Amino acid sequence: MHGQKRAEYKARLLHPDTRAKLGSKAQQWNHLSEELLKQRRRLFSSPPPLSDIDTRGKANEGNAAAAAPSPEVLLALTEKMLSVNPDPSHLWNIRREMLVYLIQTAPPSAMNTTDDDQEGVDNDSSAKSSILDIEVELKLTAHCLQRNPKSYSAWFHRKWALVYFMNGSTSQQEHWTNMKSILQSELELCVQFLQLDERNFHCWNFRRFVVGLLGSSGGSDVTTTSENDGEVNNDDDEPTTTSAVDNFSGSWSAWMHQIEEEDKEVWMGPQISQNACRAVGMSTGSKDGSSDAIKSTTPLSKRELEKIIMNEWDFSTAKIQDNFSNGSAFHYRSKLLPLVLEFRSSGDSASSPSEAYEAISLARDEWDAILLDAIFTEPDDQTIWFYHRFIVTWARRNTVVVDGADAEVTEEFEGLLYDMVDSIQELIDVEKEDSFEGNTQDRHESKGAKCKWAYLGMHLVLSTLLEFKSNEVDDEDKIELRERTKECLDELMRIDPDRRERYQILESKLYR
Amino acid sequence: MTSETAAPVGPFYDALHANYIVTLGDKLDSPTSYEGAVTEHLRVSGVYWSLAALALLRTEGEVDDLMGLTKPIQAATDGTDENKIRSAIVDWVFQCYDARVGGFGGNCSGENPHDAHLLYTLSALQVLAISNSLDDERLDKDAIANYVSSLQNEDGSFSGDEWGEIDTRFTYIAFSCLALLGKLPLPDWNNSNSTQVVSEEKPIIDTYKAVKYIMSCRNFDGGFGCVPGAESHAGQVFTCVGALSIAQSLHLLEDADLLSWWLAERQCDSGGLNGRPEKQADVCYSWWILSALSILGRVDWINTGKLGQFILNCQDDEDGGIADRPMDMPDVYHTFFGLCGLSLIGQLEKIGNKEGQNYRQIDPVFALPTDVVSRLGLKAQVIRNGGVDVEKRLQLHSILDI
Repeated sequence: MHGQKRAEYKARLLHPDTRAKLGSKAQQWNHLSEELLKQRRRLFSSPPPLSDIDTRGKANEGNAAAAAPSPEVLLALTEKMLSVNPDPSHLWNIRREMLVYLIQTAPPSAMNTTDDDQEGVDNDSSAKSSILDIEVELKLTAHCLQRNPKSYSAWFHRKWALVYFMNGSTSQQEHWTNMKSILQSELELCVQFLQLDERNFHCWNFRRFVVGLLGSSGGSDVTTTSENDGEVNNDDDEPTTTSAVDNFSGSWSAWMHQIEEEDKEVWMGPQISQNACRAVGMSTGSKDGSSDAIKSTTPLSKRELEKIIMNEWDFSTAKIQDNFSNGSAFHYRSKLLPLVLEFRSSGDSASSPSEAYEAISLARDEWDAILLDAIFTEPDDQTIWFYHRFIVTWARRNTVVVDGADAEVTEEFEGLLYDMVDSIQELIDVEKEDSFEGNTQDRHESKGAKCKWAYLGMHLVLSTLLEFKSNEVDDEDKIELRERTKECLDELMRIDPDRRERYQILESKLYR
Repeated sequence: MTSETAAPVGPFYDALHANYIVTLGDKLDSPTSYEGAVTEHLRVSGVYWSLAALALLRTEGEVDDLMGLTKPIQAATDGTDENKIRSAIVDWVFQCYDARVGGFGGNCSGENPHDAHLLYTLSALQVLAISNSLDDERLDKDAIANYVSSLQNEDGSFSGDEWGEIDTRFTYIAFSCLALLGKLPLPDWNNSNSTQVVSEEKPIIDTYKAVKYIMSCRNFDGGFGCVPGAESHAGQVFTCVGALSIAQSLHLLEDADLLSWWLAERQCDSGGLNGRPEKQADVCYSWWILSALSILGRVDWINTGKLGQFILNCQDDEDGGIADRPMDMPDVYHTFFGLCGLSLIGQLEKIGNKEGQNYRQIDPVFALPTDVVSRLGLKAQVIRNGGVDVEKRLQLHSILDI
């Protein structure tokens, strides 16, 4: 059991009061669990569930779990159980089943589709609506996630509810305005959850999901969209023939046309299947296929898309500055960087020398503004060095432009690399002096040997420089670079013998 | 391997672990077990972890006798119910079959199986594999294969169930399920970039697209996340590398050593492995990381002696079982993955030799004992670096030379 101290756990269980309390909780759970499945089976036993109006009508009069099954009772039961334990996915399934059932059998007046087998629905249906009561689901999942912030199924239900809601209305302008404010507050929720645990990857994924929805939620504000960047809108003037749910999957499809080539680095994939959306009859995609609300929305302008991305970029900056060990924020940044480059060098064609130049200057900004500070503050934190590695290799790749390397670009990149060599050497010198003075603090178990990561960083920069000279004859510079690279590896073998195997392989490649 | 694995220090509690596993099911079955109640939804997986763990320590016949795989046995009692007979595990697994869709739920309540999910479908098939019951006539292989197929999305990814959560875990599961059923079509890398067409029928899934999807989840550090754009995580790395291995597609891993290095850097000063940079070590990563390193042919990039010691330090010396960290409360999940870790670094074998026990080995791709994998004729792929011979247990797979 994660993080449960053995002695304390066992001692707790020995106490008769605790045993009795847990025992009765267990019995209660087991009773509800059985009851829920029984009732669901009775409700849906025969024939197809959605036309089973009579059962429902009667059920509304019941008020206890023991009464005839009704979707409302089942909803209450799932809420009760999930509030205690949010993990069981079948409980969320039952909840969704009931929500969809209630919406699809709601009075036709509130629906955009004309279903004629709605007769017989009792008039006492004020509580029912053709739209999902999103607030209820958001509140329930928030409660569950406070209990267990790593519950896959609770995070998923929240995503499902948002997507279902987005698809569920025809009142266009109002709906989108409402939706956008909901999505904005979802970003706020992420801020709160990431304050509790800045590495919660479920929450980071959820944030990317929300950003994906924001990007595909349409340009609601007409004045903004027509202001400029009209070209983007014109390109997509044709109503999309694909159904609405194609865009509401949390993928970043809205940004993909910003990238000239198929750039996998940027691609944030869907987190909820479009097939599933169709299968459960997401309202707008229903029988007659009408999805007016969606067709009438215009894609966001380039400026609006840029604003969303820059907001995320700033968010990652803030999280990193809170704590340089935040690998999740660095990871996000690695994904955002190509998009930021795209917005910065807007207008240039991809792989042109000017875009390559812009990439190197962006890499230098990352080094100057983030990395330098970080490595001197937390020199043994591998998170930072992995990002350093990303920046170096990313910039390296960007030096390759259409007609081979551009001299100016190459020179700029080499300049950056030599600056890195100097700073890392300075860091190593400072750190060694520091350790000589016996300055040892409490170290996290993942830190490893002192200066190990500085040497690894140095090794990376030196071997990248060497790579640039791979076609040149061995001049003094090159021989010196190779010597210094070897020194790094020798030092690493000494201070990090656990990974000696790898350093030996790297050294053997050096003289090949 | 050039580095010599140091002998572990301290005892290995064979009998305690076996007893812990054998008695666990009946403890959880008690209507007053809180642990049983909060984990009831994943019971099929719990049973798989238990069986697979015990299978490493005991022979097939012994496991059947102790756990009642294929026959009813007397339940371990807490003193209240002397002669309680528990039905065979295989029979119970079939009660968890959700015939509505063709998959297995995580448990059943009387006649009502819980909703099917890929997670539990694989666990159920793994239990049947360990029990040598994959040819049981109750197993509707076509229906299950169709269920798996129905969950593939247009971009190649898989949903966990019909509600549509996407995750690379489900790709591994889909591949593993179909492989166990003998129905996995392999991508045809030699000819067109498509899934191999056997006979004239359309392949049951598009394995080629599924593999491409896996590759779209790769990150700058060489690792993989649960969807494209998600952060690398060692558990997710196993599912992606394992899926590539089952689909005989490891050649797509350009710079496999970048990934191996990232995995090797998961080893902490304590010897244990963590799942992401700057996180605490946890026994379960002994499985996620070592299995991936085994497939990539780089187990010797970590200090296996220190890892073995860390795992042994996580044993409960009173009641058996292995915990996530030293002095923590054990559970069956960490017990299984701890034993897997010891097996993959060859220490379980050494301990067995010393104690006169002939321990079975775990297969790093299918997470089943190697004799089961061999019996079923399952074939995945592993990497051989620079011509160095792969470990004996891996030789039943095909070898990719790098």
